[in-house]
Amino acid sequence: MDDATLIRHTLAGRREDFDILVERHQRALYAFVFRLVRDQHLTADIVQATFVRAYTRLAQFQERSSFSTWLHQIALNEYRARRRASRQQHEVTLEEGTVDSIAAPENQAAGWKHKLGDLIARLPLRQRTVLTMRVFGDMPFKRIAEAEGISENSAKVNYHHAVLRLRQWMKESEA
Amino acid sequence: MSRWQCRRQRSALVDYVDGGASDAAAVKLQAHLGDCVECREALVALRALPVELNDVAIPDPGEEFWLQQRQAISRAIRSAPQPRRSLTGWLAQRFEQPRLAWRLPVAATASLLLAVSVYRFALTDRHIQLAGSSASVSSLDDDSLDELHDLVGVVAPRDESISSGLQDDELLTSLPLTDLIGLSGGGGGVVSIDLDGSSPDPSDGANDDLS
Repeated sequence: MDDATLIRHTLAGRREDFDILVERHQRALYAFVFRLVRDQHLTADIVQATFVRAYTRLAQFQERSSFSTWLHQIALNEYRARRRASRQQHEVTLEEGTVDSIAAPENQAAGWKHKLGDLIARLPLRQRTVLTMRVFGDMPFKRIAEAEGISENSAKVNYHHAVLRLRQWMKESEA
Repeated sequence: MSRWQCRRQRSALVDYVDGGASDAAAVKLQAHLGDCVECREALVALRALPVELNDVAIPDPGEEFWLQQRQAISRAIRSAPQPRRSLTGWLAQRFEQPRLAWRLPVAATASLLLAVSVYRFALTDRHIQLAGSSASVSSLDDDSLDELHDLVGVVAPRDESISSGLQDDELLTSLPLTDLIGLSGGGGGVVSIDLDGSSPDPSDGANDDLS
């Protein structure tokens, strides 16, 4: 049974069909959020909140995108809301990360695969979210631009920057 | 290659990798790539990095975690209000084109107004036709006949060179009123024929419309 059918059934009152949607998208959404926040507990909270919000707003889902993309957008909004609310110090530090911080000796000990999360987390926030939505959320640039409130061209340029910066950091990690 | 030219190719490079670049943009980009080492390296990175990133697994929290999370979500949604599709949402779902959702009621209203207008017009037209077909010249009284005679004389003067073999009154009474109305209204205008004699005197300007 496809997502659209399960959504229709849920809206008709069959809540158990939403459980199937949760099971179907749970892991991909978790992976997407984890790559954004790099914290298992926070990831679990955001994923749970995302599904509950998706359920309560299911009537607003208009199939302009896939259900999976819609979930990713809700998760991203959830993440942003929590970030605004908490303004944790380590988040600020991560957003202001630079190439120099990546090149610190403790980050050069292992290959980039072990540091990937840290590398992505050190990208500027806009580049990090665009990269995450594109690579891990498989979202088209048009939808990314809508979610970020920027032009499609700007989304592509941010993605371009993110990829090149990550590539450079990965090479430095392997050196 | 100048950095300015490379900046202009960033978005095009992303499109090129995604297969979304137009033919013209692709040709332009390929020309630039032939001269620019940095952009060639960027192209390689844009192609390879997403694959490499997706190959890196994230820590699996374990089956117990997945199960507990599903149960927690299930409990939460069962205590939440049941979502219901709004009319707009239903229309969007139904026609699978959300942008049509607000247009459909507008289109339906416009269609209804058009239908009502056409119906009212048809009623008016039918009223004239019924009035014409149900009446006959022979049923008119003398005053009405005189008025009709004058009217026909104005809009269709008799051609003396054509002999019909009938006298005027005979010719008039042999014609159905619908023919007379069609004759007088042939120019597209509407001629009002008052059968009860209450129409204004043709001499006071009523026949201005007929000249």
